[in-house]
Amino acid sequence: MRHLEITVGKATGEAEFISEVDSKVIDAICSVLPCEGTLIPAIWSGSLGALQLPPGLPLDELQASVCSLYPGTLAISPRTGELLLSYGAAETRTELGVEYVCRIATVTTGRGSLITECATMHDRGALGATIAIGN
Amino acid sequence: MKFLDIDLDGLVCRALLNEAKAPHTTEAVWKALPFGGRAVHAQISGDMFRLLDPVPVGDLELEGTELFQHPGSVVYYPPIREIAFCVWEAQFSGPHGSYQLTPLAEIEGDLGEWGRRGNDLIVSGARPIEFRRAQDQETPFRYPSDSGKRIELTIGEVTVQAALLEGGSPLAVASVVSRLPLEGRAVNSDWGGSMTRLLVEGRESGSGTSGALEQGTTFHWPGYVYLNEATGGISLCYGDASERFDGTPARLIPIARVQGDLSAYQDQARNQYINGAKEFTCRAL
Repeated sequence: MRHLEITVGKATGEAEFISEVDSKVIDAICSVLPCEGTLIPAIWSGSLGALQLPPGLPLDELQASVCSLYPGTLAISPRTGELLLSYGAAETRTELGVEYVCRIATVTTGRGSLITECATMHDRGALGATIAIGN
Repeated sequence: MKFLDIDLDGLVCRALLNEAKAPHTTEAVWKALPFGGRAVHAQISGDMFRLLDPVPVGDLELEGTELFQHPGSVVYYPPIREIAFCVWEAQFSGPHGSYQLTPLAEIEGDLGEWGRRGNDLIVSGARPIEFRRAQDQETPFRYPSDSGKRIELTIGEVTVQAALLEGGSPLAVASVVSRLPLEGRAVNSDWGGSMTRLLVEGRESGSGTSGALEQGTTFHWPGYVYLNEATGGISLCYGDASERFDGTPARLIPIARVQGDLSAYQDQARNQYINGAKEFTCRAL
């Protein structure tokens, strides 16, 4: 089964796709990975990091739509094309209010170290991050 | 720099056009001057009034969009060619919520009687308002000034002075002053937008209390230093902001206001959430 391999700063982990997301969407996500970039704090959404995915992600509808993200949840914003990773109390928002996103995966391995590493962003600033398809 | 005189029923204030954020809108308005009409209260936006008659400019796009206003904000809403004025706690709104706007201009100084007359439009009804090129284009923009005791706040490379608002928030001011001097790390809020939180040893600098101090407000304005009674935290607002904690709107008590130009700090703070925390010190003068 396909899964995601995540590296944020010095921490690594794995995430499994949730069952509510259909295989076409997973195919689409996998088509733009691996992605290496910078995880930045989302200043309106609480403990949430955002990583810009490469263009071309054909996500024009919300699946498994949520706005509250438990720690260790991965989601994608159809509006911005960002991959979102929550590491504490988080609710996807902009200055205009709540914004719904697509929940896609849950961190299953390395959750504690990823959350701890992400939380250092508020002091250290943005962190290098990589998302890839695992074997 | 281009200044307007805005004459509200015989009371005149001067406002600086926001050419940096809204170059096309300010140019169109400048060319259309003088114009006028009737001023009426905004009614569903809080302490705000507006020009009832459409502004005589062509079709314009939103520019430099902002969602929040503060006293002295003059905003433009292109779809209905409307100018509105924030005179106290306000957010430009329609039946479906608040709207993004073009930040057209900033009224100098404290609004005083001009602002009170604007807010009284809800009682007085429509009054005449005129916009014209200001007679005085030379005097620099006059920032609001306060007479209270000063504190000095250094964050990263920038130092500002702020006047304590002892008249409005005496209990909260006393609570903060008793903790000075403070030093620690300044981080961007993770919920509030353009809001800097001042942390000491990684935590809020004081202990939270409940109901012992002033009530506070959910309207957070650039240049104000705030105390969050619930957490004991101190914050500096530097732009569009609405502080929250775990998603819940936070009532903050204004304890000081920066005197003069905040732009040097704004330039530093805008990228702080990416660049990381800055050292800060806060002391009484």
